[in-house]
Amino acid sequence: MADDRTKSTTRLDAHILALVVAAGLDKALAEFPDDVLAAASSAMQQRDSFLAAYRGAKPASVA
Amino acid sequence: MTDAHWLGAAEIASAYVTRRLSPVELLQSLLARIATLDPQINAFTRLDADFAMDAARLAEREIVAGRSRGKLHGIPVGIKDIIDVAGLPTTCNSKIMLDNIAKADAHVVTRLRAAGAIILGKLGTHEFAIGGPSFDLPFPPPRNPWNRDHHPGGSSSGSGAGLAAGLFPLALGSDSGGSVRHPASACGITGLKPTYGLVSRAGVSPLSFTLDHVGPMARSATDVALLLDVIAGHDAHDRGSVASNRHGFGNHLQLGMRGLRVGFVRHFHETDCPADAEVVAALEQVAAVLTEEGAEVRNVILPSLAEFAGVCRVILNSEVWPIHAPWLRSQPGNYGQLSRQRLMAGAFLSAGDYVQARRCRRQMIADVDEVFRDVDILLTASALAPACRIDDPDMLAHTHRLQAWTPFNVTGHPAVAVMSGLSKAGLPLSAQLVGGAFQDSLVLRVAAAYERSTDWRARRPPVA
Repeated sequence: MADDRTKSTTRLDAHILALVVAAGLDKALAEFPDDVLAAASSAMQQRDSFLAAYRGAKPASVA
Repeated sequence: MTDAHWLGAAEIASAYVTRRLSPVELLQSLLARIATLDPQINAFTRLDADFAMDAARLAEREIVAGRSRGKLHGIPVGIKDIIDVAGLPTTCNSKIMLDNIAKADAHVVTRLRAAGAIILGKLGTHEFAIGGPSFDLPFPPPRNPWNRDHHPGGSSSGSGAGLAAGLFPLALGSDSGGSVRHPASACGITGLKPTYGLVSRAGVSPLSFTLDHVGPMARSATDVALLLDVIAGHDAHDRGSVASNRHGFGNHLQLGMRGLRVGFVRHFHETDCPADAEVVAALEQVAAVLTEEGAEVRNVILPSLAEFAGVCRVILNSEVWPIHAPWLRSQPGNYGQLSRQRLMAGAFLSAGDYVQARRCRRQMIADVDEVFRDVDILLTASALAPACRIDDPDMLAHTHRLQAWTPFNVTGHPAVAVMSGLSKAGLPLSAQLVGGAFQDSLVLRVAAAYERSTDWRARRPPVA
């Protein structure tokens, strides 16, 4: 099973794969690897754009 | 009465009082129209014609007897299919929810019934209000009455399309990142995202607890105000609900704009995300109309669209993930592809990302509140381009980000989309008016004044 999962997600790096497993998305990874990859990629872009755009990635100065 | 289907709710109420129209006559007219047009528009996921006719007959008897149930007595309303109506399925346009029969009315539906409204049926939506437009869902995507090959906006797609086609006078939508204002913009109608906390979300399928809003949609600001008057109010079952009972949203619609200070957020559409030239020209025309009507228009600066969008996406995806995680783990194949991709994104965000986004959000709310010390209303772009074709996934993905709605989901300020023109291709253009927190009345007052000053509200789509 682990081999199958790894083979079907050769484009996923170890970090993403760890998050997929931690999130319990093994079934989604096996059945829809491209969708999992798209979701991971989207999340990374969202985080990067948010951090880069808002006040130079510094924590907001609010209480 | 001919063309009763184009009457607004306020006009219908008046016609009932003077006996120029009855609830049964109106409903017969609408049902005939739905039978003819909805196969082309797909506004409905479930039409409850028998119930509606029974309710119309009862309303007719009561009105003839001089009894009034409330402001919407005998007036049909369509309900987005993520909002519970007791006894009807709330499918959220998902295979996962096809057998989900609502046991009770959502709070807003309870309020509608108490005001005498007739619940006409359930209206098309993106899957769980996030995944669409898409052709791999239980119900086909609604079509834009201005051009059936084009997207009607979403996710409250059936609400916008059905209003524009004259299938009903009022509808409810929901808005977590523009889902009321997008179909309002694409279909040339009027849609309000109220101030956060003003309208209960109890009984509505959640997407993002801190971004979700239920909003009124109609063909005029006057009718939006009438509908808001009925659905607004505190509800202890919604923890976001504000403990107040503000009403009378239509009381000041005739006051106009004289003396109001309008802040024009030009950078949204000029530099942050450059808009289609026709959208820009229409926005400048809106500013000119506001000036002619006595408002003082000045430029204001807010955080950029990219900043707002980044915060909105991180919060939305973080909050929706725990709602859908059990189903995404056990039955990912029962989601449409768009939903599956969008809903899983939250699995890859951390608690730290969410906390940071929430902290940024607080600063953004403070930034926008600060601007409202110097202006009464903001004028901004709404959709930054006319609706694209519904069968072009690349264009749909591209235009998904061409909007200025998410800032006010992030900040919670009230925002209304109003029709501001037609493109050369015959598709609606729109503008957005935004008010300070709980200044929904003022937002609708300016929208109503703008609608009186132009004739866009009278335009009808070719399919109608």
